Amino acid sequence: MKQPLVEITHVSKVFRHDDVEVRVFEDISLTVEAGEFLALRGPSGSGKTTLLNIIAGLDKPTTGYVRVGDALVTQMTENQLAQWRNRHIGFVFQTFNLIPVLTAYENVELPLLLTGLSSRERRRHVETALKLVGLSDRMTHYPRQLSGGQEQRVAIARAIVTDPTLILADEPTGNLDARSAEEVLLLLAELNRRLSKTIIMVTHDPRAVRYASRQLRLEKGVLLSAEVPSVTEEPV
Amino acid sequence: MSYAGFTWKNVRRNTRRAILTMLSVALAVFVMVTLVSFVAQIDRNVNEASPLRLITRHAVSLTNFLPERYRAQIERIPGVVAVTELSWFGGIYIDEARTDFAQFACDPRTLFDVFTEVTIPPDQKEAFQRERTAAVIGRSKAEKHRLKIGDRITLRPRDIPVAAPLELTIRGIFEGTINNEAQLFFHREYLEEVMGRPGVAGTYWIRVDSVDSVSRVSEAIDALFQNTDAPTKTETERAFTMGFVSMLGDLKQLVATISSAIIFSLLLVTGNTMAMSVRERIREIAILTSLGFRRGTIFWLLVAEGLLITVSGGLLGCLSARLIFGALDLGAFSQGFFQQVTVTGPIIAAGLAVSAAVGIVSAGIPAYRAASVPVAEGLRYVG
Repeated sequence: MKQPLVEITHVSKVFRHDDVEVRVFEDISLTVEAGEFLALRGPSGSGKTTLLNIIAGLDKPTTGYVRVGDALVTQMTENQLAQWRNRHIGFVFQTFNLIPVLTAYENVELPLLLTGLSSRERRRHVETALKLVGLSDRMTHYPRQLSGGQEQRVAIARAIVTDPTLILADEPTGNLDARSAEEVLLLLAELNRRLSKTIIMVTHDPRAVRYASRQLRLEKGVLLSAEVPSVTEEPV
Repeated sequence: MSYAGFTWKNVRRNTRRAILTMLSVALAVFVMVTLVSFVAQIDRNVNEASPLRLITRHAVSLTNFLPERYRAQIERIPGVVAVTELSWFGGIYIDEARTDFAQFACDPRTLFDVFTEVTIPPDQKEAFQRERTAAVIGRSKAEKHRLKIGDRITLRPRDIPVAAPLELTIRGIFEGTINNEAQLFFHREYLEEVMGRPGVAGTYWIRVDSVDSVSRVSEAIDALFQNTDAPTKTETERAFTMGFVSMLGDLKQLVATISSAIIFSLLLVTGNTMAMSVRERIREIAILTSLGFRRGTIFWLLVAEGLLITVSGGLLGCLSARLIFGALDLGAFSQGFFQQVTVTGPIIAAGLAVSAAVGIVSAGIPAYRAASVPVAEGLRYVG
């Protein structure tokens, strides 16, 4: 039997602020198959981003465990996690989170600094990633010289440049206008379809889920499955 | 792009702030290196002192004169090899700015027997000893003022009550030391003549036959004049030089205190700058972590920024001090008291080490804190 790429088992998360306990979610179990494009929806504060952070090893669950591929994320040390993230996780954030003093090229190159690739090999990877997101002509531009949509595409190029096992996208269209949002969603869908990239996307955007192959809702700490509408059902 | 390139880009993130911080480090290191170089120069002068030379002066003060008759009595003490009077003149050569060498009246017959490390051609030595208005000057000052054998110079009195300026003829140029070839000597007889023959000497410089004689001769001289109206104090050249320096106060303590204050204020300035710089980037640091950068790598990248700023500033401060003191004529500023202050390699290394330490400490603390912020918290941070 084929093993799922992501396996979340009985995970719960409790935040403690002084004496106050905030239970974000409890006993969540979820599997994501390789090549899936999962959209995770839910109201603000439902713990979507926290779940994404736990999958990426950026946050620890209070209970339960997370496995991605062969890696038991919840058992890894800080340094093991850092190395693993660099090789296996591509992150796309709502606010793009590009480094403002670096050009588009350098932003995309950043994760490759940790890989031990030569300068020439890095160049090849960066140029391929930027070409894939349609920004070959913006390599020397700084983030402030790019539109929001272009910034997010650079962020996607940065997320895929190491050829990660899993792409985690946290509200990738949240800061974009409708047109740019559609471009970004199409790009993610392309990565999923053409390159078989597994994507978990947290979104508020009802239009965004139509590009996913599966939709889940996180409400009041419980994961509910929902039907994915067709892309052609309503115009974006 | 390399890690170095990334660090450089981060330093240039706020160019004005980086330059101002670097300049503040440069200025502080310049002051510190200058102070340390002055003390080191004094130490070098003290260490150059001959262990076989004694100086006899008035027990009350260096400014009190001793009777000229003392010399003959000193010469009779067993172990004494040679004696010369040295009376400070302190005249003005052309103008204040060009008076960058000290002038002493001496006994030309014995001067070079006391200062045996000094070399002078025999014919020049003889010419100096023969002529009443002859003078000898160190090579460095002769070259600086383009003085050659046969040139006539005039020294106008400043503090000494003399009837007329001294008209001297350069008859010899010595090499070796007597404080880096930066002094001029002329006949005490000539000074006596223009002063109306008071029959006094400022100090007696004595060469003894061995180190074993130093203590005995010194005690014998002081015992000899103990109950006179001009009691003496005799000490080694090294002790005399140190005593002379101590008139300026406890220099080393002063320099250590000032240097500590400078380093502390530097830590505050650069620490504040680095803290601001790091605080503005908590979110970016979290992004680096999410990309796979280890906390240790992030810590050292931030420390490297601090180091780049402070070591650049330190280098600027050290090199400025070296260039300025290499070109500056300190003798003219100090009437010959300081001839040369050399900012040596070890002092530059110490200056750079201090700036590096300031960089590591000032950047290290905020870097450690920033690298320790939980990633999820850092990603939410709004600076």
